[in-house]
Amino acid sequence: MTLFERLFGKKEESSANKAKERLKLVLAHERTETNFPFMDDLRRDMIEVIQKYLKVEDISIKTDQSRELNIDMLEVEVSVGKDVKKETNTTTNP
Amino acid sequence: MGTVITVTSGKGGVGKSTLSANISVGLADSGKRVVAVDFDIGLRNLDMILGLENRIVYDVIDVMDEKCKLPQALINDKFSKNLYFLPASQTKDKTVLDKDKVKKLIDELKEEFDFVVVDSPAGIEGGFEHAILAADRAIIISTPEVSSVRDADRVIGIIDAKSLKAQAGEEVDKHIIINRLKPDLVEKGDMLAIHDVTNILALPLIGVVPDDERVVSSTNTGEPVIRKRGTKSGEAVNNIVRRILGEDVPFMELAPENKFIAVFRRWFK
Repeated sequence: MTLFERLFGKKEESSANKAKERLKLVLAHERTETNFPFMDDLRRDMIEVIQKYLKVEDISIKTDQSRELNIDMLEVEVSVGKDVKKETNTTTNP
Repeated sequence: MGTVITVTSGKGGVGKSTLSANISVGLADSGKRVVAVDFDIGLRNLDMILGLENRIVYDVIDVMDEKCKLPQALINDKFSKNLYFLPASQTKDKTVLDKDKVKKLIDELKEEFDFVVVDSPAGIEGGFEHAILAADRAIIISTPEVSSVRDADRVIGIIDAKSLKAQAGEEVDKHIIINRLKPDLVEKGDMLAIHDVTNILALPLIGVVPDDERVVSSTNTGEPVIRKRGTKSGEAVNNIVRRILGEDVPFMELAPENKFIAVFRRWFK
């Protein structure tokens, strides 16, 4: 779109189309980072295993790309015990 | 030392990121060095509004975790040398932030920039707390709707409790922006008027942005509306920027069907 067209509100390529393209591009990129179809099963299995030894309050698995090494990483965060839970509760209270 | 402005709201979807982007652009175009920080961890959006989504390499969590240096994560705006952007992380959840790291980051940014504009997540949970922590001033966005005003009131109530400035005995400067006002609905008595909202929230107004289709199209294309000449919303944001800079700017006439509103004052090149 030229400046002239922009000033007079004339739009050859609609902004909605542009939005669509941008979204597709961004989402395609973001989805590859989190595109692990087995994630829910893995989460369930991990809870099962850890619970043999500890009381699991919360478990989250995240994928990440290590930019330096150019590899995919899985990050697992396990919250255990009462104090962990209590602490997250107090931060949400006003 | 720069000023930290946190843009926040109680309810989501009232235009925080859009206004953060536009205010940042406006301040930068008035010659100030500005960094816009997206603090909505896990739900990155400011990048698309600024049209910088394809340039992101590192994000705010990477900086705080010292995976990279601050300058590596800062993205320069396409049009302004004065404007930089620090993106939110998409993959980490907001619980990974800790207050000391947030404080350290903001302090570092304050050294470099005249204004640090923090785009806060909606609501009053963890992320909000971090966004408001180092604020010198807070701008609360509300639309003239009951849920939005009510939630704004909740947020206002806890800003002081959560900010370091208030804890040190000073007060965080708080102002309201009323966004997406529809003058014709107000006239008909079907929308809360400006003074209704300010009376309820009991805080000074720093701007009123009329509902404008051009905001939608400018978000579509990633070009903030403040850079579009002749738009009412762009003019409104520009006025807000000037008020932030300490100018005494009269409020726009927002009567329905007044075509003179469209006359745009060219305050930036």
